[in-house]
Amino acid sequence: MAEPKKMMDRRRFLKNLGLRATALGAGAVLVQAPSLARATGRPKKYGMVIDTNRCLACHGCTIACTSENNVPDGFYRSWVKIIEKGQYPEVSSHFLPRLCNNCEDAPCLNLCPTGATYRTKEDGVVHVNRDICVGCRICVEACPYGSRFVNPLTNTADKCDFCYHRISKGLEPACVDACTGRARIFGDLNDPSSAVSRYMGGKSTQRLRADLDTKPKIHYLYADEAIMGPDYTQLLARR
Amino acid sequence: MDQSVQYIYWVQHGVTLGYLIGWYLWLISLAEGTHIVAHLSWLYYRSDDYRPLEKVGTFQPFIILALVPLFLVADLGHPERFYTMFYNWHWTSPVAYGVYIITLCMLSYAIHSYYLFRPELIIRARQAGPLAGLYRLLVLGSQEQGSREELLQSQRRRERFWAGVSLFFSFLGLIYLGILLSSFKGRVMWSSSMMVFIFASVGVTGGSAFLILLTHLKNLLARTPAKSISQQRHYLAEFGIILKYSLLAQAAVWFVYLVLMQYTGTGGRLASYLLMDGPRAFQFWFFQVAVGLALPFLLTLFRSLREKPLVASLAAVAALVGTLAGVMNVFLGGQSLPMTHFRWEQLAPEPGKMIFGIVTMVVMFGVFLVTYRILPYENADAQEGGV
Amino acid sequence: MPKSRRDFIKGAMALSGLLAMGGCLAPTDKPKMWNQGGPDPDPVEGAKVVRTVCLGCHSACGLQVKVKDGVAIKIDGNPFHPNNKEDFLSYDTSARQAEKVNGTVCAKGGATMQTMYNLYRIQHPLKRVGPRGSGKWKTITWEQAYQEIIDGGNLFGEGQVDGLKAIRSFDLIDPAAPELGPKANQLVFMPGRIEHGRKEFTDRWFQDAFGTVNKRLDHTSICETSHHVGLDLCLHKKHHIKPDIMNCEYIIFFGTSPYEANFPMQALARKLNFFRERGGQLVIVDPRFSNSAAKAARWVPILPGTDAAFVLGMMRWMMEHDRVDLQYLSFPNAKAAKEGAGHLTWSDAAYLVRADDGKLLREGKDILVMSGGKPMPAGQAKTADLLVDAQVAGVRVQSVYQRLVARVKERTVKEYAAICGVEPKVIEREADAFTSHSRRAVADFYRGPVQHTNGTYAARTIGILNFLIGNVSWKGGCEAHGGSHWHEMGGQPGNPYNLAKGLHPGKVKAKGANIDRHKNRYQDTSEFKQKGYPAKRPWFPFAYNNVYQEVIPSIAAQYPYAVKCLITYWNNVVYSAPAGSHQIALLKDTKKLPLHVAIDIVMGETSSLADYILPCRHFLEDYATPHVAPTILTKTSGVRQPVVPPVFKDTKMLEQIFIDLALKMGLPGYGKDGLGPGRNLNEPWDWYKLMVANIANGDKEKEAVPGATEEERVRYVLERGGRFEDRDKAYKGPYTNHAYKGICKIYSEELVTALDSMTGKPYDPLPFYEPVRDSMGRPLAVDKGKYPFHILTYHPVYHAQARTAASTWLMGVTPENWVQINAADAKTLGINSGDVVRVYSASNQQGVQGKALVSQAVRPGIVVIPHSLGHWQYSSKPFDLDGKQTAAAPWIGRGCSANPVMLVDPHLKDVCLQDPIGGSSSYYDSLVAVVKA
Ligand SMILES: Nc1nc2c(c(=O)[nH]1)N[C@H]1C(S)=C(S)[C@@H](COP(=O)(O)OP(=O)(O)OC[C@H]3O[C@@H](n4cnc5c(=O)[nH]c(N)nc54)[C@H](O)[C@@H]3O)O[C@H]1N2
Ligand SMILES: Nc1nc2c(c(=O)[nH]1)N[C@H]1C(S)=C(S)[C@@H](COP(=O)(O)OP(=O)(O)OC[C@H]3O[C@@H](n4cnc5c(=O)[nH]c(N)nc54)[C@H](O)[C@@H]3O)O[C@H]1N2
Ligand code: SF4
Ligand code: SF4
Ligand code: SF4
Ligand code: SF4
Ligand code: SF4
Ligand SMILES: [Mo]
Repeated sequence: MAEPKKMMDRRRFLKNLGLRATALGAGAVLVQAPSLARATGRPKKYGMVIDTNRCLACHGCTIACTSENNVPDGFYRSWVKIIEKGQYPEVSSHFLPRLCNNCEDAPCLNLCPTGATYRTKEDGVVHVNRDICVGCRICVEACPYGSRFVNPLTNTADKCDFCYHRISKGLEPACVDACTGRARIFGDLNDPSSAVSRYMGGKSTQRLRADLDTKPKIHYLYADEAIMGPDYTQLLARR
Repeated sequence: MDQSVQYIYWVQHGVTLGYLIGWYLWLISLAEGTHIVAHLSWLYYRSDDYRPLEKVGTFQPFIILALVPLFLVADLGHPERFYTMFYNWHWTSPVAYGVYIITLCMLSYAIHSYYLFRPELIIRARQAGPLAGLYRLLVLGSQEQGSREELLQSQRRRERFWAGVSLFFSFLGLIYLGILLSSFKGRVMWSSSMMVFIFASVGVTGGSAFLILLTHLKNLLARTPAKSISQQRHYLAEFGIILKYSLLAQAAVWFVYLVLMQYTGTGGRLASYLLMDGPRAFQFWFFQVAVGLALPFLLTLFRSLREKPLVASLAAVAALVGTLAGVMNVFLGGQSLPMTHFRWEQLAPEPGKMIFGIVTMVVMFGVFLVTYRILPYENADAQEGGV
Repeated sequence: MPKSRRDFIKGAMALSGLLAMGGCLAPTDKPKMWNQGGPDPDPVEGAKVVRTVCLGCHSACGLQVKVKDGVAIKIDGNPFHPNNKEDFLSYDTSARQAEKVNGTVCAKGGATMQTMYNLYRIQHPLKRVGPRGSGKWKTITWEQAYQEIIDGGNLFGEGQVDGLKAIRSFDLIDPAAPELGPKANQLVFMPGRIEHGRKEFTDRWFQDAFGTVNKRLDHTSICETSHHVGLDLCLHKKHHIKPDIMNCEYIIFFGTSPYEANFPMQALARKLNFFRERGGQLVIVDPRFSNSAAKAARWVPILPGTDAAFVLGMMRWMMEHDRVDLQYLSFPNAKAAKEGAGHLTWSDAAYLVRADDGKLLREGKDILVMSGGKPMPAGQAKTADLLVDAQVAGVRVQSVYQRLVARVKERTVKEYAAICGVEPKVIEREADAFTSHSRRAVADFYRGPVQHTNGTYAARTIGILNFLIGNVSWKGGCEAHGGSHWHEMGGQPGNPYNLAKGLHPGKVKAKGANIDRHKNRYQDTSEFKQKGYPAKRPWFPFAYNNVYQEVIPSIAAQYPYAVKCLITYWNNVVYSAPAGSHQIALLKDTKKLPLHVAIDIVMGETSSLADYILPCRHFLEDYATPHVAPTILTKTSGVRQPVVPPVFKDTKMLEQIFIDLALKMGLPGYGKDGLGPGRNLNEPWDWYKLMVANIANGDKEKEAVPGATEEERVRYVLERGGRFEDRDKAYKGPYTNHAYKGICKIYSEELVTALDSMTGKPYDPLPFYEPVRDSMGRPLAVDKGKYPFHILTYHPVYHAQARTAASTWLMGVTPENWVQINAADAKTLGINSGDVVRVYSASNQQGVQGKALVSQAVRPGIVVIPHSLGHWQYSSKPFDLDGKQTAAAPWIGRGCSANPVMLVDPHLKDVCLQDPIGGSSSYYDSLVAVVKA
């Protein structure tokens, strides 16, 4: 991967710490809660289905996410894993767009000692409250999906929050909007008429590390098993 | 290999928690282990001439626990928010409890130490001397009269209560360490029931080794009266035996752990490969097994050997190195297993943190040494007898 | 702390402005990554939305740019634009309302803000102070730059240099060779990427005002020229085909990766997804297993340069299995085809060809066909005989189809397969599949088959395959026109301003031969009359675009005449052209090229070899009216407009630079009344507002967009980022709506009657497989033992051309290992993934170095180096400015490029291998060796 210089301006940031108090999630919840959750009478369950058959590994999502969320260089809320498989000429390539699963049973949340990582009740999105987070990185370690990092600008945990600043205004997440292959479909998994529910239809979907029982809310379609999880064959083979 | 997979793009996540937290875990296990060994031995011997050793085994862990949060704080993205961890408390997180456990543990050690030192301190405070003021301060200006025996007698119940409490926290601390790591369910190497045993055995090994080492150091530095030295030789030898058996126990625990790993899917196999044949094999075989287990075991195997201060100290140092390597192997090794791709995760060098950690450890050691010179470790009578 | 990106950028820009009074950043200043200004996401609301057209790659997608306080904070796709959204908004949607909707935007498009806010951009005019190419510069004012460029003088202490004023002379260069034209031709304009609006503007300046024929020698020949020329020799004035993906059933793509590149990359990918979900069969013919191959039903790893043979094999199988639409082919004119089977096009299959001179048999002006055994004007027959071999008036004639059959039968499928390095059954399978979907099957291609010495033949051969099933212009078939665009240059009934023909008072006429000899015939020259064959350098009568890679070698050879001033713009020929690095030495020769003015936004590899660098604007600060590919079936006129005020104030828009120069030189058609009475031409918008007005008013009368005044109509278009026909206008009955309605030519009379300037031999008029050759027509002789690998290159989906390496985001998603080599080959050479390898060729022994990607996903014997990496300038290293070292970002130079190792023509020795017909430079014919470095 490239290592364009990571730049952090901790000093200036610290100085302004006090000033900046936008608990992104918390603020939005107040706006969101009455209008959305109450109207439908039951909580939403935001999630995404990613049709890997459509994904062309263009990284449009990666850049849209980075740009939208000011993700510092060298860190990713969204990225695309790419592998080649097989032996010439029987080869295949597989692309797996990755982002936080906003797990229903999220290890990051469970292990966060301060409660900075929390879930909005109305819609199940997992957030980081930057004003509370102490930057201990336990959640980074706890997430079995590598979805988190510590943002060098805020020194707090950072990850995909389904672009809460957008979805709470009725817009699509940035990566979904950008997706050139139309591989990402976002919406309320609890609402059978939502785009995402309709797209999944009766199809059985795949989720990452189902063995861990984290109940990820990113559902994949047609993904190759070889790209879904970690792969220890090469490491083991090097004996 | 029926299918070859070539990775074109993925994101390398790196080892997130580095040496500082590794040391943090090891130092805590050491502190708890030291206190457990020291105090269980007291319960076993209940002999007055053991008291100096119990002081070592309570007060030194207190110093460790008092300073060890620095490692955690220094590792935080927001060190200035450290204290908020006490009230931003999240009940599902072991660390949330841990912050309390370690703090309370530290306090209980402090109080326990206070009672352990109190009679000697009061006596010292009565005497004129350069440090009398300090001693007076340390006993909170207590003017209590009476001989050492009487003093001991009058505080017995309180002392025993706090001894019990501190022992309780020691165990809790070790259990906490085990639970902490095993709660990371995505991490094959940690998410194991063996974690508690690993930390327990590591703690006890480290503890007995530490006691031996510290006592010898104390004897070397604190101009310990010859009488005490001879009294303590016996206990030191006994610690050697504890060390010997804890090494055996540790070996057994690691063995069981590796066997279990072998049967925990490819991830587990990779974990055992990581230690035995992979990137951490040298740390494992050399530091953990050869230096940390085999060498001290041999050195403590025979009475003639283990009763030689130098040999015993050597064995202790080796055992300590071994426990440190063990903790690091599990802690850093566990993080180097990739969770989303195919390569070992690498620890980015953290020179600043390393320097901080080393400096803090040196300071810790310095504090030990200083306290040898100023605190009355030896029983008052022994000291007086020696004068 | 800056709270948001815009605060940060403002700070950074102010900082860089302060620190760098010169042209770039002060040496000690480590530029900060502009995107890392604030930890918060940028606001969803409260930002202004500006719609423009992307030039991340050249696909011309619409962009919807969010701007806050004058800073671009996020780039999304324009929902009005058909490239960006399958169900793009209907044009009457309120521009404000549409802000809630985004079209898609690819990685490159989204990252273009990083190349705009690139702190390594050139910020002031620069003049070299050391020898050319020494990397020593000083900052000068625009006034000084203009004055020196116009007036010349002893500019560099190296002797007299003629300025533009002196060059603009209408005396003949060589009275003995009047065909070369006047001395004004000694000014050459060589842009790389240049787009509509600006193309016409600079043509007007160079050709119609200055008077040089050497206007706009742009980069098309290093791009895809032979694709255009080849198709142009098949279709009437059309040079781009694309499948109607949304209704097609089978597509075979030769040498293109529509999921990674091609036009418009996003729309192709999206439509192909829907195509595959409908059950469409996608076949990718490419030696490299591209991302498109990953999505395809089948991948055919063909040997490079052999596509024509593959297609000839398919044709043979089709002929033998009665899979050719003989009915279609036998319609000899439009009416017959329409009435006979509803076709909008017809073919020349029944035209009669004379055996003696290869020309079509004519009677007067009428081309003859045989109908029922009797010759008859093609225009009159309802159907004509397809297989004809007869004597007409004592001349042996054959029908085109007869000739085609003979050509095809020259080899068996097995022999064709052997050429292509595939199994015969592969060819048969695709021939079968291609002909199993009626007219809903298409064969398409892009750079892969054409950037070869046999590129034009390959293009024609593949194009003609479509004709054999009569799929052109049908819904679901081969689209040869596309939605096209409104005529921004005017000339249509509805257009108020005819910029194409009029509005240029004092216009002059340029005459003479082009420096790259494109569209010029050697046989017309005095030189030919004296010396005959071969010419000193090749002439390219068919290369109607230009022959970009020939420009500098020709200047260096002073052939056909000496050049005094070269103006490059958005040009990086030494980096982008195959073997372009061989042109560095040529560019350094101040004797042969006395003045080189580069107009650029960065210190590009080519601009670093200039005498002056004039800093211009990034495309997000520019105007243009780019067109889209026929992938889009509805009329589309995107309008590019500046989205933010210029990031660096002392830079100028290209048009402004030329207006300034024109005014100072007194060229006709600028300043007051420059565009005709009452219409001044003082700034770029004076020009573009007329173009946008043409678009807004439309081609037809009463086709204007809403708005009471022209101004309102122009605003209506600008607000939407262009003008877009609604979705329901894509089709008309069984056809596409704007379908091509012309002839489909299997036989090229033009080719057979032209003689190559080097060999004196005619070109082949039929589908044809020609092995790789040099300019003398000799098969390329390379020692396969020493150079066993065939090197290829391609466009990774998240990079574009020479200009994306300056984005940290895009470099961040670029893997480290990128010299792709087949695993079996790697094993033989002992190369592992990640090893640094050296790739070298007979033309470049030093070669290039990069990290190996050992891969199964490439044909053995092939190495692949993707484009866009391996810069050696572009501020990947510092240069000297006003006596100080500038800051540099080594990461911009990461990786390597294939171009430096590509072969030079063994006869010409200073230029790459070229297609003598289309003029394409060869990217895929070079043989190299690979060793562990
Ligand atoms: N190895 C290899 N080489 C290739 C290709 C390949 O596939 N492989 N592809 C070929 C193809 S298809 C093409 S079209 C050509 C393109 O080749 P070029 O035309 O050379 O490439 P560009 O990136 O368009 O720009 C050239 C220069 O313009 C300047 N520039 C960059 N951005 C801007 C801007 O915003 N404004 C202005 N005014 N100038 C700018 C920079 O100096 C840049 O180096 O490359 C060809 N070269
Ligand atoms: N992402 C991205 N998209 C782009 C651009 C960009 O820079 N980046 N640039 C735009 C421009 S200017 C252009 S011209 C187009 C180019 O569009 P394409 O032509 O689709 O792009 P290339 O990547 O050059 O693809 C050429 C392919 O041909 C293969 N090939 C090489 N030789 C042969 C051969 O002899 N036969 C066959 N069958 N295949 C062969 C190569 O392996 C490569 O995969 O893309 C446009 N779109
Ligand atoms: S994917 Fe990781 S970060 Fe996201 S919710 Fe699940 S555990 Fe937490
Ligand atoms: S880094 Fe922040 S969010 Fe993560 S566990 Fe620590 S406090 Fe919680
Ligand atoms: S939903 Fe938003 S934050 Fe999450 S990956 Fe997509 S763009 Fe990034
Ligand atoms: S933008 Fe869509 S198609 Fe492109 S890589 Fe991301 S998920 Fe895949
Ligand atoms: S495909 Fe090309 S033109 Fe379209 S958004 Fe991407 S870079 Fe821009
Ligand atoms: Mo191109």
